Amino acid sequence: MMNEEKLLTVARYLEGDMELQEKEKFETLVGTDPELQGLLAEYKNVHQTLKMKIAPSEVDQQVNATLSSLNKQYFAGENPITTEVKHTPLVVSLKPYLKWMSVAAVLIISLLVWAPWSANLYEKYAISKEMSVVERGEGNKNNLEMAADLYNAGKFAAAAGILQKEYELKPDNSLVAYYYAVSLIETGSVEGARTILTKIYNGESVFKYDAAYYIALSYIKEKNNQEALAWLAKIPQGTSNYDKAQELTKKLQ
Amino acid sequence: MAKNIHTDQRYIVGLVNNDTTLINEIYKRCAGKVKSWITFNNGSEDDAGDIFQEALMDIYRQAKYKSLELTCPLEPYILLICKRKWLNEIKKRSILPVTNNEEDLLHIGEDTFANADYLENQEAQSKLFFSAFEKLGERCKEIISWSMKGEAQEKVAEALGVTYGYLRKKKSECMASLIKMVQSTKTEE
Repeated sequence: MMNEEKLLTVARYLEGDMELQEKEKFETLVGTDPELQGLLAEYKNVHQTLKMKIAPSEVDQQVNATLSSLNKQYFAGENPITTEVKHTPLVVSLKPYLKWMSVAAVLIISLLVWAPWSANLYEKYAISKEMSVVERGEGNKNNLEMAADLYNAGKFAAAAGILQKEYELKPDNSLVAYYYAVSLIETGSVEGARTILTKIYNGESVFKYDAAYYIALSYIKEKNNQEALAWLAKIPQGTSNYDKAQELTKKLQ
Repeated sequence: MAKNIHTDQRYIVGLVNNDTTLINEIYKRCAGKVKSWITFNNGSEDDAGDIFQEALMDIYRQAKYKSLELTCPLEPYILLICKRKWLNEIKKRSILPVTNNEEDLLHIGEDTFANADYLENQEAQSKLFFSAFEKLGERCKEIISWSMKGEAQEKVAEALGVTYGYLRKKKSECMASLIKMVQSTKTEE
């Protein structure tokens, strides 16, 4: 047999293009023909080498994915890697995770529906974090200053106690009324707060739209988005809380 | 030749099985060294990561498709492969290496060089085989790709619009001409 002929025989043998009888004959022949043995080995070598290039298996890609994710951990730009060992596998093939991914998807969707963070919108969009009292008396702090200190320290219940007295004394002082109302919202007396804030809103003080904004926030705290939206809509363009109000409106819709 | 397989072969097996614990172990042992060497030689951390991943994929493929067996310890093996890869890369990019020889690798044993050489040869071979494949006729390329992807012969025949008998015959012929092409490229060199 010429080389070319032998080659074709080898190919036919390995590609399963031989009948049983011919196959058996070939196998006997290989035992005594080193050239055939060489060709067989060469064929297998070329075949396997090409296979990994032409027809990479799914597993190859999974291994590559494992490496990619470990690469992020070990060659992470500026973050020097720690030598901590993670005992849990970081990435395995995707298949066993598909189940968990769908569970995760369901969780995410239900979170979106439940939206527990909308309660935090109140925190996030709260304004008036600082109560400042312009007139600082000399010597002993007056009640308003004390209230401001407590308010700024986040002790709203204590602040509300003092502010309540001040409010009763000066119901027309919108600064007192406003911070008293916010303190009330913070301590959970939302209804009382809204009565005060509505009064401020109906007046013409500098706190008019701050009051409207806080009424909206108080409704957000109670997850009454409809009322919140109605109050946010009352805040006109050009006022200081307008941008925040718009942002909130988008989030609530 | 009877091979003395090194105990670190277990990492190679781990790589083939996509065993993340073992693969993580490989990173833990080798990634830091590869990173510091490549960044010392004017590469970025990303370069180091790419080279490292490429080296591991080369090893993986050789192990999976061609039963690579490690006869040297893993760490210097990977280090040496990555160094060579990076030296090739900076030659391409015309960056000057800081250390451009392997003299700083005195602690690396003969067997490690032999293993790394083997992997390099395999990669070179792979390129050569592929260029031979590329020279085949379209029909042959199609038939060989399909069958290597492990599709059922009947399906391939149907997809290509030929009979099963013809496909079998043609496939053997195509593979034979591929091997012939590889042989002639080898003698040309």
